[in-house]
Amino acid sequence: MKKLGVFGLIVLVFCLAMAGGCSKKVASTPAGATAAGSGDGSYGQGGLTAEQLEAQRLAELQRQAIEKIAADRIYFAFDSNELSQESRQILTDKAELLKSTPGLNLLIEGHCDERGTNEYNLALGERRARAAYEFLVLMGVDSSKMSIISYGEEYPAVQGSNEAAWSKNRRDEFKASAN
Amino acid sequence: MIRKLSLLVMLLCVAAAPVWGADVMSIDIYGPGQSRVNLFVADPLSKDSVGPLGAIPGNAPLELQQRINANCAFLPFFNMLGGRDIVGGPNPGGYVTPSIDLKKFQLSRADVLVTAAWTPRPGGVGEVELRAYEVYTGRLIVGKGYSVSTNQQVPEVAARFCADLMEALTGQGDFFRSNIAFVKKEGNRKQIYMCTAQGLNLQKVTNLDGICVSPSWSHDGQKLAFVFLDKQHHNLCVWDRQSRSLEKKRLPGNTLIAPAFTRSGSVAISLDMSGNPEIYELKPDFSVGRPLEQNWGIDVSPDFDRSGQKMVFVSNRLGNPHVFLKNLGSGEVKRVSMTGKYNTGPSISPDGTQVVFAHMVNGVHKLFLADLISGQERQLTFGGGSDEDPTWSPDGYFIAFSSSRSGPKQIYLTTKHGDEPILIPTGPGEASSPAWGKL
Repeated sequence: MKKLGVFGLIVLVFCLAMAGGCSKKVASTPAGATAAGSGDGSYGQGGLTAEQLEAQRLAELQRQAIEKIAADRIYFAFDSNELSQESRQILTDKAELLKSTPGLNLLIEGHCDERGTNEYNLALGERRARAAYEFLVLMGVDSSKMSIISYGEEYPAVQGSNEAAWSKNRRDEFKASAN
Repeated sequence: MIRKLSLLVMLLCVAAAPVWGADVMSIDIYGPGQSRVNLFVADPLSKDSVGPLGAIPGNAPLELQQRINANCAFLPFFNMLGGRDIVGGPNPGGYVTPSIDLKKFQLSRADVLVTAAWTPRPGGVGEVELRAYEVYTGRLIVGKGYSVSTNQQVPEVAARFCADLMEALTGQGDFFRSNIAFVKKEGNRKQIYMCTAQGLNLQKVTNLDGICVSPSWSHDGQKLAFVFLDKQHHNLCVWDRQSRSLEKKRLPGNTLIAPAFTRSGSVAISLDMSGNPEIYELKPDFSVGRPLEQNWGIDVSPDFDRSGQKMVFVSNRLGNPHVFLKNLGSGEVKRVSMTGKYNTGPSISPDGTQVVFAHMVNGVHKLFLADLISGQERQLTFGGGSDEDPTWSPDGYFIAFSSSRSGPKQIYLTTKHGDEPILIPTGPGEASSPAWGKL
């Protein structure tokens, strides 16, 4: 999944680079031609069209939202999928971001620590991801923009066989991407 | 693989006495306890007692002796004797009675003696006659001849002879005719592998970009189901052993957990279509069929007995994960694991009388065995590390499981009696989730 996140960033950077490329083309347009334009506001700051500016603004908005959404994970007690007060607050913030940022999809990953057994942990990971999903739906996030996956104990965030590691591994991760 | 081997197996002319005669040695592996017999595998001899063993190319005679020794060491009812244990030296003096000096083996408390007699074979490795004698009576327990074309056939010869020996003594030789699929960690990926129960014929089954989990064999040992986690989805995979083809299916819902074949050959699997993992039976086209168990809680890890009537599974309907048994005929569900707060990964014995599962004790898992007839529950494995993913052998005697008792997870073997676990060598890399199937 990390690879996917990196891939998403690469795509984003590529899009921005393309947008930059377009601006150069516009900038190379003779000044007279611009002056001879209709003056209807179709060219804006730096020679970008309004649409391009809007797309750039949206892409930046999305990039920031994707970063913020991924930054805060939520954590669980052993063999539990209950959302803590802190988790609810984190999810509330994410819901606001998701609602205020158009064009985002969200993949919620449920993870477990190594202590449980593999198959039951896949079920528990599903319950953890679903707990966040259902909370976000309640907060008004469009359910069709979200999906969940359980990885059980397969991708620990922290290596180690102690409570410090386990408590960081019983988690939901949030991978947003622009559609 | 076996069919491809051009082994010429022939019953020796020496007639074996009826195996189940009143005073014939036998080992009850299913009873409450089991007797142990002392086994000695003699050094290989030349059949004509003139020609040197060196006429056999390669190291086949010695390798065969070592393989038979290693195979028998997997069987907890054998106590393996070494050459130093034999009073007057290990040379049997001959490979067939009456030329064998049985007295010194009797004095050395050997119960079973295995002899090997080789003759060179032009264009091949040689021909070998293997015999197992009951030392006390001199009775021939097993006598078989094998024509060995290549050195690569030696492990197969050893496995076949040991299967016959085990069958003659216990009535059951499937241990050497079965195999184990398991999950092996390779970097960030996990792949499916398989090998014999002694760790031979190691084969890589999958090469997928992701995590393979929960392999499970069909009852005829021809199909292997498992779940593959890719970067976005869970997929059901079914591998056909004959054609070596892999089918990969997306199913409804987000989460696919722990497939298992029913007696009729369909796949049972947990799906979260209703927002909660429940166990469904799939139709032959992998569309979702009837639910086998539905509850408000998590229901995962089904396993079926040979009759197909009993299904064990894990549910957290009582607040913590516990093992339950469902009678698929009557629909009755009853709790199996009665102690502790975390009991998972059940496997039901083929005869449907016992369930082995992982029980969490002080943060690690140990194997427990529940007897469905008496209702008694007892601990099977002890020591350090965590013991998980138990699976019954097709003969209902052995139990394979994964354990971290020596560091990274590896596959071990114990029995329904809780015999000292033996490592099944599976090469470098963590190995887990064994699934036992027929060869």
